[in-house]
Amino acid sequence: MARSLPLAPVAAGALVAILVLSGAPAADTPRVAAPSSTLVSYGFDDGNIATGPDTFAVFEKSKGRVHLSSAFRTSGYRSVEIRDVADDGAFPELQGYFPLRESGMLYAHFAILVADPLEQLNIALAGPKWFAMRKDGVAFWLQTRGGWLCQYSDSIPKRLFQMRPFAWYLVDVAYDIAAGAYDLTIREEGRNEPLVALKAQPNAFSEPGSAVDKFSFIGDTGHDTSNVDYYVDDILLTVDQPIALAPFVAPGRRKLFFDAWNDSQALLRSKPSCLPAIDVQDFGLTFDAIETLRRDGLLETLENLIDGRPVTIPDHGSDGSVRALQAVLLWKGGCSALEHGDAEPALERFTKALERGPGGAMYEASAVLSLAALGRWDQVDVRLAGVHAAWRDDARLPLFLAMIGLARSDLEAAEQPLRAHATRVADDPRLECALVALSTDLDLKVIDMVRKRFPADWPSCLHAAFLPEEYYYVLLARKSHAEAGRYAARMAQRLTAMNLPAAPWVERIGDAAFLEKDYTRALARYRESAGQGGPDGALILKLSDVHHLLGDVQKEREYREAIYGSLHEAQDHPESRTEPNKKNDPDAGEDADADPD
Amino acid sequence: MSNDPEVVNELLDNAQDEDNPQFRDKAACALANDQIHLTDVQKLRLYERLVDALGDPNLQVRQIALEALRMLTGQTRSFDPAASQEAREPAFREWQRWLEAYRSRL
Repeated sequence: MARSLPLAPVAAGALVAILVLSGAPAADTPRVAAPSSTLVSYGFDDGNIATGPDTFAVFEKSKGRVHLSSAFRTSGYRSVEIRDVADDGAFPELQGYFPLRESGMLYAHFAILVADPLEQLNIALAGPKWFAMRKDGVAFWLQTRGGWLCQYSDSIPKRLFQMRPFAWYLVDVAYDIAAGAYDLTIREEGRNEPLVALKAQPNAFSEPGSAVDKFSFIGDTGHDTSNVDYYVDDILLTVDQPIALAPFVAPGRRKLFFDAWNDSQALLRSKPSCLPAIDVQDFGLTFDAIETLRRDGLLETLENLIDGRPVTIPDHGSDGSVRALQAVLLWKGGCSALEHGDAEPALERFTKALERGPGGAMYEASAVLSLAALGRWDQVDVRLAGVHAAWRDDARLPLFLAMIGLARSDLEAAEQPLRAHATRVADDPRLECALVALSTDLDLKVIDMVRKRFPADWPSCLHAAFLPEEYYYVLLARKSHAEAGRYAARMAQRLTAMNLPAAPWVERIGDAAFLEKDYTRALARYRESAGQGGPDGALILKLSDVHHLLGDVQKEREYREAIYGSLHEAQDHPESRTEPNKKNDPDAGEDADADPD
Repeated sequence: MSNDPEVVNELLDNAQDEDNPQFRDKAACALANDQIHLTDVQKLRLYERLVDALGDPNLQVRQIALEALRMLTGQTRSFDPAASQEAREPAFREWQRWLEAYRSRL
């Protein structure tokens, strides 16, 4: 459980911002969300074992294994066997996902049987901070230590009982999220009286309000000393207040990669507005700064401030805490001003926020949006480079670029100037510097390089470098998918002609085709892009989605499982499993689609 | 990385008594990051010394002790190493209560 799913590359994928920031189903795919108390239910006996972002992932790197097994089970005819191998450099894991729960009660039930309790195993419920020792990290943690089953509560490993080998133990946890405490009951199969019946145990690191959205079953926690072999069965997670759960639209997922594209339109306006904050790091707040706020009793004030609830910044507290709160307050004021079309005072507030909270990427991004609203494009381009670098892996970058692009022209009227400029970028050989800059991950080093190589032209170079992406996302926002695809194709041709990497633009051709529902063409372009460079998680998911929509069950599964692994019987274990590449791409061996892009 | 009690003790001594603040800091980092194979008893000894260091008159010793405890336990218990001795006292006692609970579980 020390590892996290490779979501970073997924989140870095173009357009995923739109998916992350939205929650509703696709407009053309009506789905009824039925309220349910059951978040997760796995008995491992039926066909309900598809891995995916909304179910679970299986990690089996090196020698460790996670298999379906009929050797032991508490119900039905199968359980999951997790077998770790010491000194193999990795550990196996069954990691499951469910909708984020930030309040109320979460009830977890599962059964475990271990062959040798002296070997270490770890079981956890954790939140959006994965398996970190902090709020929203690990909330509930069981571990075997020297033959004892222990709970990790209040940062203390507390012995519960000595486990017997090959005995099923039924674990029930009732987690009060707001209180950060849980009741724990553990029964041994065949005995009436519980072995453990504890009430109000502080969660793993005594953090009230620690949210949860995932579970994990592993061997040891990274010391690579465990040879544990254990079995898990009947995983059931329920909540006290039923929540709406969208039905599965494909194996392992409730949404396809592009499902939420249309939902994003409400966030895209002709006038720039602040993007939503998703982390306190948006405001340049380090862990130490948060701790100081907590010590000063001002953490709740910060949360209220970010959520837009009325607050008064107290005069007590350390200087750093007060300045941090002032910065957020200024940012909120700036956002409000920007919302009302008062870009000048908005910019002033964002600038002051940056002074009080240096390093706050949200302040800088908001300042750039207000500059865009003011039409100060020279300044936008220079500062956009900084945001582009800081948010390179941030899911909000495409949305941010689309907002800037929309601001360059009137969404409802003339996009001609923008089109003309962007077209020039694609065709004009004199703008080589722009193509060089945009063909790679644009960061501050590249910007420095451009500045040195083109001392006279570097501002226009940056402008040209950013324009294509902005233009492309504007076209998508306007649902001009075909035009977006043609533009992406021209960009890809230009880059290819200059012997520069074109894979991101080839992928964008595919994105546009996908949004046109031309899945065959999308598949061809995705495969071409994947063939030009190691496909990231986002592209692999798109490939899986496309195959699903084209009815190719086998390849949908192969791509999905390249990321999330698979659950199968031991005898069906594949020889090796890595992410698809030229060597083991599920599509390899097929002729490339002769698409006329 | 070591579970040799002498190494741990030496690092604890360095973290608390070394004249050079950089060496104190390095020692605390090593205690927080590298002592992954300590037995439960050795870990208790480590916690005892770190909690004890929270009462050190030297601000930097208190800071690095708290940082090591935070990294090892995920908690600070609202201890502010820069606060006055009187203001530090409740959180210091909280750490001592936690230590007692930890000890009683061994």
